[in-house]
Amino acid sequence: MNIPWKRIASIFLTTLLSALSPAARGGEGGITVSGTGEVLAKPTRVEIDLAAGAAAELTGDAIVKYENSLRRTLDVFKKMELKNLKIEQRSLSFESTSGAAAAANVFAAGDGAPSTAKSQIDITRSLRVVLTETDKLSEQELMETIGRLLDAAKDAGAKIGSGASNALMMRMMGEAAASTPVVTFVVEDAAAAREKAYQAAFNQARARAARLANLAGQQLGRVESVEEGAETAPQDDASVQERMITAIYGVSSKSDEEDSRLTSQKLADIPVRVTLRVRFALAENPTTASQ
Amino acid sequence: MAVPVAESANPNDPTRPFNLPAQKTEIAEALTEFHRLSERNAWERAFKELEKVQQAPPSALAPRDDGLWMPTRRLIRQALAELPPAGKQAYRLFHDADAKVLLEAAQGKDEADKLNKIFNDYFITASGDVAADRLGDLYFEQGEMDKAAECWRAVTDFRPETAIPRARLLVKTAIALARAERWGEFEETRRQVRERHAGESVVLGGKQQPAVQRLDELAAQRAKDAHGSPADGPAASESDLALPKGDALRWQFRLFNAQQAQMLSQAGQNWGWGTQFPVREMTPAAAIDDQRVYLNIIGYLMAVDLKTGKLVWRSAKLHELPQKVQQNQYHFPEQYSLALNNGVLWGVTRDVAQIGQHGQNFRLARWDAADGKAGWSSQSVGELQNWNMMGRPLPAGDRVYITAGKQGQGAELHLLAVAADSGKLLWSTHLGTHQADQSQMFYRRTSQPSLALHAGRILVDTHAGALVAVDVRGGAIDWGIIYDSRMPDTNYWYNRPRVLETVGAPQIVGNILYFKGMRSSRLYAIDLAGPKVLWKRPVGESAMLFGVDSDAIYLGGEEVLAIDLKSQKLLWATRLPIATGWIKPLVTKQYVYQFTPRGVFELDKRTGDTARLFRGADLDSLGGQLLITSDSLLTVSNLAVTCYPLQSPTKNGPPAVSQNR
Repeated sequence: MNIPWKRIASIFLTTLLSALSPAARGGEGGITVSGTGEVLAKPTRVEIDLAAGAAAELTGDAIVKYENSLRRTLDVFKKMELKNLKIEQRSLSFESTSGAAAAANVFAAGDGAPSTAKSQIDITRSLRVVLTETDKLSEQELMETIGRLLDAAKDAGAKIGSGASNALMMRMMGEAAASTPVVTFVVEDAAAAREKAYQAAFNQARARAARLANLAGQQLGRVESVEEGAETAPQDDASVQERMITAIYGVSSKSDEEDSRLTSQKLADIPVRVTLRVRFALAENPTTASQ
Repeated sequence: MAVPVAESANPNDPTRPFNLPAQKTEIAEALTEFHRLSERNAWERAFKELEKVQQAPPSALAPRDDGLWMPTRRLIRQALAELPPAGKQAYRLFHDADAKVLLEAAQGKDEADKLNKIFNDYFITASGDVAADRLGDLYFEQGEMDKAAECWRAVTDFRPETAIPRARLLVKTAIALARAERWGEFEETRRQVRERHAGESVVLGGKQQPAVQRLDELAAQRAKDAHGSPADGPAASESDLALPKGDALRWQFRLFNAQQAQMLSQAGQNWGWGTQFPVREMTPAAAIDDQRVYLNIIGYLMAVDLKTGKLVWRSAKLHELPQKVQQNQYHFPEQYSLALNNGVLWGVTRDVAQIGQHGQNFRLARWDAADGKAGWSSQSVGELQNWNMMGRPLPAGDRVYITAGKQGQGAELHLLAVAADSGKLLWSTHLGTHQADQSQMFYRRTSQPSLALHAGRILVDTHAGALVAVDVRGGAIDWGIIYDSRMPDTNYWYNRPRVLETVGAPQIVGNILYFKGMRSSRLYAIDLAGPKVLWKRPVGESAMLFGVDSDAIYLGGEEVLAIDLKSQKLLWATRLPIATGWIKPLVTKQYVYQFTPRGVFELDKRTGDTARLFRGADLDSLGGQLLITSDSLLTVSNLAVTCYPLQSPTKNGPPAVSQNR
């Protein structure tokens, strides 16, 4: 699990600066403004996190169950013969669990009655079903395809939506988290959109600064500094709880690679939003000066 | 040597969910002490300990080291038979004279009692073998073949020095085994006669004949009778279903509309504390014949015509059920049951005016299956009025067997034999005591016993941690076993996690009993001939046993499992969607079927792979039971009974459906 110290520090500093300073602040011989640029990017990829595996008291049984579950899950997607579909096999976990029945008896553990629940070995492979080039599908086609994928996963007995973030959610919120989103829409290459957003943010900052300078009878000079504000575009605009977890506990389930992507749990164009704080130098307006 | 384990012999062990009617702890300890002293050749002291055991009630149970609990009389006989020669000699010195007197006095009406006394207490004396032989003859004449075989087999096994011809004893044993339909043991005994006594003759019915002749005749007769349907063959391995090509249904009988279904699914919520009642996910008790499907929905009985899907008869109007369920909380939906036998419908039910009311007895009753005309009910039979009936009735011949507890004694479990025509109580046997009062467990499934009839014994899986074998004639407990099982909690805890609980009845193939209790994580195989525990293995607690064939054992639930019969290795496991534990999967020749909220899964028996997923027309439901006729597949869910046409009638009639509930 990655702890995005840089991002946390950036958020903290930006928030602090924002609190201490007005949106536009004339410095000594200069002016600072902020500008925001937003560009909408169409998701190009759909991801569904799954888990294949099972638990058993005998490790040999758990291995058989795990192998069967993984094979059937992979087979069911293979049989779909979708051109842009691939299955990523991710982490493999071994855990000792006490089972649902034991969990139910936890409440009564204080009455002195011995628990007869046997511990089990749970072997689970995290899988990610990835459908690419989704931007070339109509919404109807995409919905139908996602429906087929989810049906296939359920019918194969795979656990859907079993990513680490969901596991955290389940731990924090118990059964209330039963409505966790299961499909993630991804903009794979966000660089171009970001470039446009940067440009738009800078243009807005320049326009604002020019307006202020004009009001002050000054002329906009060279750029003295540029500071990138917190990225207000949501990484995952539906997963409020996950961002809460990241903010409170400083942990995130996303890798660096995933950080560079844009994700959403809603099927819609994903906004890329950039905020820049730009400090311009001020120069005497020749017209005003001559007066 | 089978040594009782004193630590587990406590008849009231609070750590067990269910205790058998056992000997007092000191008796089991005396038996242990007898074994200890015997090993030190302290014969006089050892026999004094044994006397304490002999004076205790002979039918009370004591544990063997393999986990089986036996009547004390059998343990004494076994303990004596397994003494070393010096011990036997010492015992004879003490008891030969007593046994001889007893044998000479064994005449007339006391003959059986006296022979029994010798057989149990003095079997290793000089008179023991003769007494056992005569007792075997008596049992044979009375038709008690298991007991007859036990007597003769005891002589061949433990008294090799006997003067009684061994060939004669073996032949008599084999004949008794054949009459008891214990064909596996019969073949083994026949093989012994053929190999070791081929040239010898025996006198049977006053006629001398070659020892093996009568046994060959019995084997030939059996082969003739069993042609095409082997008695020892798999219980559930018949022809396959040809599921419909589309999802076309023949008819659907809706039990509840959307609003009523919503009311049922929310049962318990108005009681607060996140309460969830089992009624939320129950599917009704169902039975089927070739004309109708019968349902017992919390006391509302009805019959639906198989051809048309029309209601044939009903006991009350079903639409009032959801409201009644919300009014009270002691529903015990699992206690309602149905069984069908020769046009008579047997059920355990409560008057619908008493739905959910605490302390109201469940009744055993009978109806005419064709028109729903009510016969007798235990409410109207004086000696049955105080019994709270439990489990699924087992009608057999002129009797019906049922488990029950007495009113106000929810922890005690009994087995009753009742005359089918009149309701007269023939006998009742106390099977043991639950740790948790079953009448207090209103928010989760109670343990409703499953019954199976085999070779003159009723096998009762309490689903609470014990299985008991009871002699059908007099109701005596033959043996029992305490198995690992989770202790149910009678309290309700806020937002307690839901636990999937499924129930499967014991399965008997040949002479082997397979069972897994409702809250147990162990699957057992017991050789009924011994009886002897063959093996036990871990399985998921939520799994239910539903089929056994010549290769594998099949368990259903959130995973369908196939376990190799010979090696007990897990062959495959297939995880399926599941929303209710009230399911009844089935096995055919090549496939396993389970009805889920996503349709009926048809799994290949060899691999567990999904051969077909038949979605059907009841996808709003939680899934449930599968029933079949020669040309139809029926699904019984929490919402509807749906009938689908099979593509072509199955060969050899309908596949055998396991009797699980």
